[in-house]
Amino acid sequence: SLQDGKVIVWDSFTTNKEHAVTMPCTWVMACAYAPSGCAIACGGLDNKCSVYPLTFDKNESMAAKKKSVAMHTNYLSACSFTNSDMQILTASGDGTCALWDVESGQLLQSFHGHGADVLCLDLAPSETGNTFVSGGCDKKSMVWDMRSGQCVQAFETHESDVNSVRYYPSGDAFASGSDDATCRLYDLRADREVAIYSKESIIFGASSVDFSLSGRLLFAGYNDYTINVWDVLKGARVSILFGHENRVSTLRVSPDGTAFCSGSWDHTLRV
Amino acid sequence: MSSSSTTSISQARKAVEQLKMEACMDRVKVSQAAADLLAYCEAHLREDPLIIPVPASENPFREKKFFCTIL
Repeated sequence: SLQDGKVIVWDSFTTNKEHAVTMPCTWVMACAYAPSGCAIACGGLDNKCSVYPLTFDKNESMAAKKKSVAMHTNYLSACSFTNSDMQILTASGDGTCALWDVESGQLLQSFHGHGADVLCLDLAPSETGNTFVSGGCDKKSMVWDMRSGQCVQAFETHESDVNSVRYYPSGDAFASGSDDATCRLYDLRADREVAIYSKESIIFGASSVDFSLSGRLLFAGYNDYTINVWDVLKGARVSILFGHENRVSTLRVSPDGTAFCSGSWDHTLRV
Repeated sequence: MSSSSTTSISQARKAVEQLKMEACMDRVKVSQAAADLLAYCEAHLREDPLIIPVPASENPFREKKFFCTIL
């Protein structure tokens, strides 16, 4: 998703653009792929999350089939489909997260508790059940029960905004990246922070984090244009990746774990 | 004046309720939790292509060298 109001779907092997949709608002901040691969959801300063079915038919306009699903009272910072194409979880600058039914656009559950903008969310891996974690400008990471809307655990050890949260592959822990230049690992069963990934030389905020398939490596993109690779178990940095010419704003490991992709303010996506 | 103090009282009440709920949680010792994280990692290490590199023939991102034959 781009700042000029467009959402683009790419083929990562051929580097070709497969689809492009122009959004009515200028700043698209969040996008997500449906589990089936047949639709995408995106949103931003328009305070909404819209779902677009993907079509390879050149005669059909994707914008025409757009469905507005979520409505918040402030910008949409993150969105994610749940296990099916039928429900979407959203996080917003209005300090709440919400679960929506895609078909009817109905609000199924709302999650109140953050004291400021919610910047990110991640769903627990399917084997572990109906919870998700969210991070916000109130420096907190909160774990929610999707069915009851209750916050089950909260963690407040970061010293600044939590920009990104990602579950450990087993679902028993999650990592968070923050503007305080650290990434931290929280264990859900011990209910506390168990590791902190930082170095005195790293002074810029971490904008995005993701784990490798086994959970041994933590990739984190920073505002100083680099990506640091951390050994999750030892707490030490394994590698530093240079290449981007501006802030790294997002990062994701591929589902099969063979590669990861980073997106940056330098207008490129690198695999 | 009084409405702002009542909202902050109700907010404080909610916070106390939330903390009471969280205090009742069953917690696992960090030594146990850490051991479990380690065990998961060890168990899945072999499946991780970024830790144990896959042979070049199966790597979709390998450098592609095409050899041309002159007919």
